[in-house]
Amino acid sequence: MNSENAKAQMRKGILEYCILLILSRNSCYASDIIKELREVKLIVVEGTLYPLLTRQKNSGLLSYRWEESQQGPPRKYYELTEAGREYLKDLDQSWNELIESVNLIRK
Amino acid sequence: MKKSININIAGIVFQIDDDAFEKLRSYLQEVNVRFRQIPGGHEALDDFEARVAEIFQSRRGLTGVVTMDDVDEMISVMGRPEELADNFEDDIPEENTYSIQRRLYRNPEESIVAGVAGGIGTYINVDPVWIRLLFILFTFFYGFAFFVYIALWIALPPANSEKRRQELYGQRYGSDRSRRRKGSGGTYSRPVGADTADRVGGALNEIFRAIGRFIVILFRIILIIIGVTLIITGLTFLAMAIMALFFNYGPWLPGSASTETFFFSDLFPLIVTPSAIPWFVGLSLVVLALPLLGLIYWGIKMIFQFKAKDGIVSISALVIWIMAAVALTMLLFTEGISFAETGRQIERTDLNTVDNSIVLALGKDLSSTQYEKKIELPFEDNFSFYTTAEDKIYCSARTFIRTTDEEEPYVEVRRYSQGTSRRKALDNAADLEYNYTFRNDSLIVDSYFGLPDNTRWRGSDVRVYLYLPEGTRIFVDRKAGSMITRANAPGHNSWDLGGRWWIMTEDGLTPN
Repeated sequence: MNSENAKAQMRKGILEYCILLILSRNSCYASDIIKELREVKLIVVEGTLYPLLTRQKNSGLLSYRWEESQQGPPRKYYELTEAGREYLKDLDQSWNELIESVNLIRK
Repeated sequence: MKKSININIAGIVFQIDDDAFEKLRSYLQEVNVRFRQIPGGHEALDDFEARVAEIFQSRRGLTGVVTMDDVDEMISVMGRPEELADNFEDDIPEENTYSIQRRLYRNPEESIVAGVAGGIGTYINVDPVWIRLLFILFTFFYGFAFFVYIALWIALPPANSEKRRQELYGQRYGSDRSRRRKGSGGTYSRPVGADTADRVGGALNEIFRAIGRFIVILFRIILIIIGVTLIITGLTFLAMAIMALFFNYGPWLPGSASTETFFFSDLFPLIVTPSAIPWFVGLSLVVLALPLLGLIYWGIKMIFQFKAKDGIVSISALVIWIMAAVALTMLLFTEGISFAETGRQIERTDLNTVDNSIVLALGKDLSSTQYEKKIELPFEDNFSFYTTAEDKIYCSARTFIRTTDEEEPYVEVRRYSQGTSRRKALDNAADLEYNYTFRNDSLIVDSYFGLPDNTRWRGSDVRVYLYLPEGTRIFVDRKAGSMITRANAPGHNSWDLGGRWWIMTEDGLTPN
């Protein structure tokens, strides 16, 4: 039995949570998000982020605005919507509960 | 020597080495294959490409050529296709569980006139060009395809939301759509060997586009004509309504044109309780003007083809109109009920004469200084209203001369009025202010009667019937002659009896 699948499943949920967390501080361009995620080793390559962002946008958690950039095409800056903030609050709570549960069992 | 080509990624032109291009192309194709399996994949792909363009731009400087190294570096940043799959495997819909209820919509993305053929083509997965061809053929052969098109135009909603597009495109949503979008001037071009059918389709499409433009223009012209007609009609009737309500111009009723004009606004205050008049005018204006304004607005909308969120306004206008119509009906009813019953009061006086001779003389007459306005009632002979500045209303009192079988002459003064009930009508009739006297063989009659203060005309009328037995002589005062509306005087006009002696004979009044 390979642990890779379980890891990927875990990472997937956490990744979504972390994207929302990053965006809750500031509206961000996709590579800003990637930089942070890469620093904490949650993500290796940029390409995986785009489908996630699109899906979160389509489910109304995110919105974006276009901003001209000094170099290159105009950039999409993502930000949390009201629904996104609500959703994040929910996730915050269940994250705390999860940690508690896991800690209790591991002890 | 190396061959290099120009490509366009996310709207930015790059020069790229031939080998690097091949690698880039197969990479993007693989990414495309993976992304298009997930919902909303085409959008993620657009973002992905924008980022690719950015990476290249940051690497090549201003004049550089994109090399194999650049492409490799980009791939290491963005991730190899197999790395990409990790995070969204779960998003990929499984063929058998993921099925969309498919629906037919008009397709604005494939539209020439209204996107009807585009929608059908997308739905059945056929190039819309062939649907258009069918539409045009059947229009030429039968003509009804045109009406089918219009019917579908009205019946089918446009696929203007994500959900509707999914229902329209079905399983191909995302992949097919993004391929099409790319094909029409997007980031990388279609395969070089476009087959013949495609080229014929393309040529046909150009022809259809031209025909489509023509049809759209034709529709606009028709709409503008209808719109102008609506506006003109609306304005005309609005002007007529305002004229009728506020000025002395009646609506040009059929049949009344040859006779006298019906002075609606003059007659109005005579009938309606004064305090109700502003209500009457206001409500009538609302009831008449609202639909006309609606008509004008509709016309303007047709001409200028704008979209407005006027649903709420229309509904409130409708509610206001209904309320005004109900209020007006109630007002008409409460006013109209005053005319429900007719009452008649008859006062008889025997005229005892010395030598069977009577003088008919005029008592009081309304001189022109006593009234402000004279209004003739068009459907009654010899009947006018006189209104004064003090809001007093006078009406003509009319005299009729008839023959009687009785021994002595007598006069009947009949007062008529209407009211909400029989009793009220009788009271109203008795209250009419009319004076006449009989003295020294002279019957002296006023030419008018007054309505009691602060009352309105309720069909009120006063008639003096003078009954003369055969052999009675009568002198009609010159002035009193004008009051006589009808007399039993064959060969003579009733208004022309004044200033002469007459005698009642078997054949009626004859000069004596």
